[in-house]
Amino acid sequence: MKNDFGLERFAKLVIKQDDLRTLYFRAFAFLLDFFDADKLYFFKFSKRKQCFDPKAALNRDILEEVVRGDYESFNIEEAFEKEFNLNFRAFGSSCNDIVRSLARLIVDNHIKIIKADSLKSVRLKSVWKRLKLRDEAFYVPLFSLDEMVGFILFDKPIDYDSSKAYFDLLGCAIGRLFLLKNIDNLSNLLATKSDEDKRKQKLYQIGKTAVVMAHEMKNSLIGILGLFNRLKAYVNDDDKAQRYYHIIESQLKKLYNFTFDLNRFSKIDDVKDIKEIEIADIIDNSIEMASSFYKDVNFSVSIGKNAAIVKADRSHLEQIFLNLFKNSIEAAGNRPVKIDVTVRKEGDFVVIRVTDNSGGVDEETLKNMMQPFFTTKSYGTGLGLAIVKGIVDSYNGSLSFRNVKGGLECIIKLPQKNNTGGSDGRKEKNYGC
Amino acid sequence: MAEKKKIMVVDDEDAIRLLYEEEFSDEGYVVVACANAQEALEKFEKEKPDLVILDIAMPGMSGLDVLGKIKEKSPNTPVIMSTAYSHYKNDFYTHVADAYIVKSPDLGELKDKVKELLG
Repeated sequence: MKNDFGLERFAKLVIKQDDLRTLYFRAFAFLLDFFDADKLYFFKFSKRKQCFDPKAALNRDILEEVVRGDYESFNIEEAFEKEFNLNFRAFGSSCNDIVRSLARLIVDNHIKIIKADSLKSVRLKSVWKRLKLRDEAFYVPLFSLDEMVGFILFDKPIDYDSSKAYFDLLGCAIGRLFLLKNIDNLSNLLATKSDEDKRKQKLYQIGKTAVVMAHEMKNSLIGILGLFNRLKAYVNDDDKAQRYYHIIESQLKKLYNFTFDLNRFSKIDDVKDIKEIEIADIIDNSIEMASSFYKDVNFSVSIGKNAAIVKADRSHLEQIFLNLFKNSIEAAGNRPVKIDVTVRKEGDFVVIRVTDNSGGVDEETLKNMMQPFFTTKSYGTGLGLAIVKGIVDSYNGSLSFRNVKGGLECIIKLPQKNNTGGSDGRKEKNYGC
Repeated sequence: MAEKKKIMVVDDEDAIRLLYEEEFSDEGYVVVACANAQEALEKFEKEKPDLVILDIAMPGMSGLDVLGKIKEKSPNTPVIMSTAYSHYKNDFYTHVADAYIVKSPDLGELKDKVKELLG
């Protein structure tokens, strides 16, 4: 029976749904049927609690009508309330903690499906028992717009690749459902205590604003720049007309590029594609990119033998190096630029030092240079180092600057064991902090 | 001479609608421009376009909802989803569309895709 449910049929079925909750339950029903499972558990990410909440378990009896019927006569509200009240109120926060730890494992290592018996947590085993699951339970994370919104637990192995589209659908439905619900609670989300939390809160708000600004600006500028290109044919040879045209063109392009910076800044904590990568490759690429914009830069690179391979998202490291190189080069002005890069393994950290001959910075700049929108340059966006800081923080690393003889040294420490966010589950949703 | 193909453009940005109208008219297409989802659904019935270029983020009903309604009425009319950012690419709904384009001031990729879908 399950083979009759092709993706196309599923897509047609789903696209007709205006009600997201209906969509969500139908997707569940479909999965239950597709995998011939008896029960599916779904854990949703709670932005307020910053952890994963068990939210619904749907079993075959409940969904039978939906699966076997024409997907038209199912009472969603009733099924949801019944299952939720009966099965899940009891688990409370201890379960959340374990689920949260588990979620971090998935996020940190980018494991799509985890076998329960490969996890060492003793507490996890106890939850297993309470959920009456066999040891080899499998998890499938659900994503919506690149954010993990929850995951489903299966009591048997499944073929993730061949059914990814269904999970995409479910992630999308849940993401939208929760987005609608959470918008009203945004102020609760940001209620925090410590200074660090306040800093994060501020950056979170800036990040949220940046996303909206970047999107709106980019959208408008695409049309304006496109029409502006067409205008070129109508601009006459008059010197003034030509000059005005070029000034406006370069300013529009600057604004357009700014939207990309804003977008990068706001996307730092998105799901990472962490792999073991050769740092020499990354540095070479970044030097090549920097050299295409700036001439006459003298780079020297030294990589410790045991630091040759690092665990990180390639695009993040390239962004770090490129932003640091750009900063050093622009700070040097017209002087010849020299940039030294060293990478060493120190304990559980990979330590990257980028030193330049820019002459260093004053105390006030040293204090503020990592703040978003802080800039000493008339043409800067003030986001370059904030992006670097955001990336390094999202790996639970550290970033510092100090004046050295004739220049500035940047020191980045990236943990190489559990290198993305520790166990508090909080990092993944912050914007650029 | 073969009849000109008709393209429907749905975007809430005035500048983008004008840009697409001009560029695709230059390419020899008839262009129908709509500023919102409601207008798009009305004009789709009346104008029966050969292809639709649909912005995703619009006030009110989104492009994804319009996509659903268009595909329900006319499953064989090609629809190109167009948006300023690539993150909607992972949205399951866009799998139902025939193509997905990240908006840019350079319309090269979009024009190629239109040509390809209209054969």
